[in-house]
Amino acid sequence: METFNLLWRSVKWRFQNPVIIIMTLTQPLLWLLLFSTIFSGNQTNGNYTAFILPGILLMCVLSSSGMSGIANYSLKTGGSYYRIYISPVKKSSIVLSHILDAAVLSFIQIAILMGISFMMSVRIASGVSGVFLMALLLFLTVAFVAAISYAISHALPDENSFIALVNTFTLPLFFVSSALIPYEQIPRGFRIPVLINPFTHVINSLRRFVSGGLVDWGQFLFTVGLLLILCICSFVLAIHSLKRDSQ
Amino acid sequence: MEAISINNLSKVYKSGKKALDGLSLTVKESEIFSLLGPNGAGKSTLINILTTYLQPTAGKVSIMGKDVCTEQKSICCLIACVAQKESIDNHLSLKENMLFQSRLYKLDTATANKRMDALIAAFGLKEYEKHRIAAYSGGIKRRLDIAMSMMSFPKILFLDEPTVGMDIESRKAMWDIVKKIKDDFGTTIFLTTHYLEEADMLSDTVCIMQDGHQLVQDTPENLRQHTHQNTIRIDLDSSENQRDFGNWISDLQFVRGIRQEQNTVYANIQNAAQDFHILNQLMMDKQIRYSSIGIVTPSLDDVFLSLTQSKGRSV
Repeated sequence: METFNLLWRSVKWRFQNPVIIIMTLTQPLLWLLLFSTIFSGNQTNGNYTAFILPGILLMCVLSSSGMSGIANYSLKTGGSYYRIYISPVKKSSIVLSHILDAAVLSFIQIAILMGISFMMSVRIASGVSGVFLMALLLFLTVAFVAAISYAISHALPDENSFIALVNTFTLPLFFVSSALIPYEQIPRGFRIPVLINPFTHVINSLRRFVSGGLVDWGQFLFTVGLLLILCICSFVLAIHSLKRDSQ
Repeated sequence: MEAISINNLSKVYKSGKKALDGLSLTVKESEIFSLLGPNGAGKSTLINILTTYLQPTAGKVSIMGKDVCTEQKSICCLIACVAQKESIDNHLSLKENMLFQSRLYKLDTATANKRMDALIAAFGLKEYEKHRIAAYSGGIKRRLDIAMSMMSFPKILFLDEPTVGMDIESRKAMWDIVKKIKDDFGTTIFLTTHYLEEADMLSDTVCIMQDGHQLVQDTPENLRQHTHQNTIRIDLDSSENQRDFGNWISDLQFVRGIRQEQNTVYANIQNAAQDFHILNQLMMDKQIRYSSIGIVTPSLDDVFLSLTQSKGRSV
């Protein structure tokens, strides 16, 4: 209940400030529209937009959830952060509401990107159930990234250093993955960092749902398990950073 | 029962800065307690510890008999704090802000609505209900901030410099609200302020602190006795150079501190009966032009300066 109270407050703000939704959507949308056209003479089989969509969805999550922690700086400038902190609300509820707020933003953008992809002839080969499983993977990714972003915002002193750090990692994480090129076509020397990157597994799993037809349950369960472990670790880290911030 | 009990409290930040140094004080239930001190005295650190935001380094602190280190959860339900920074959300309406606060404290809807209506009426906020929060004046926003904090009917309300930056009319309105909270709701109020007049007018007990520890704690009346008969008031002629006079009188051996208000100088001295005549003679010898001189009952300003300056000189 207390989590939804905090979420209600954030969502209310978000819908009164739609410019944030548009701003964080711009980059993934441009990638989807431009790159899918530019690289359509591809090395992949079939629709390149369908191929690139999982990577674009991940980029959307990285940019919106990755930046979600920045809200803490404006919260701390006012007194509402302190008011919530000293209330009987559990610290875990504060972090959870932050994650859910990031999920609301990300899923609005994901829905827009999916809608545009649909208009560009992309069909989810695994059907409705595949869409739900994709949503589960994306939600877990949002939870992991948003919790990390929350922890970073408590560790760094101001917005400038926060933005610099998040930007330093976001694009490399995107490029050192299978977002743009199939794993098999990545040069051998780069395969190890690509394989270590957890987002590679998310993209591969999403790609199976978009274009693979048959679901690779082994890959899916491995990815879900990996994300669950990362979510738990980042959630604990976020709570720790929140408590530590007051010391 | 003591609302707050602090015994030998210390707080050292990771940077090594010692913000509180063996502070001890008590706050009685249902009183207005004012904490005074110069900037950097440790007032904000103390409020942060009392509201469970910060952990103390050493010492024992209890709120309504509960330990701040081990019973934080219980204490959170008993207190509320209006910080210096405005904490209301501009994107919510007046009622939404109050209901959000009620849900933080897990009030049921019926109780929340009942309290909200009572507080809106008590704090004179009815006419602002329909307006956008962003359009409120600073005074009204602060009033709403306090009304929100009262939604949980706290046993102790912390007010961190509630009237800072307000004009005199808004300050007077705020003083009425503070008195109303004490009288109508029986809430203990812990107040920090820079305005000595405010502390004098509102408080049952005043505590003056400096360098992280308490200098004195007493009623405003008793505090004035601290420097009773030890303040001399001098009304200078307008032609007299006040700055030169201020420098000259400050350098005298027996003067512990001074306060200047236009042409009037208040000098805290060690022994009024003896030093009054010496000062009078010295001023005549120096041919200083003044219209009157006399021993006065000190204000809380004089007590504050006397205590903080004598401490400063001894360091």
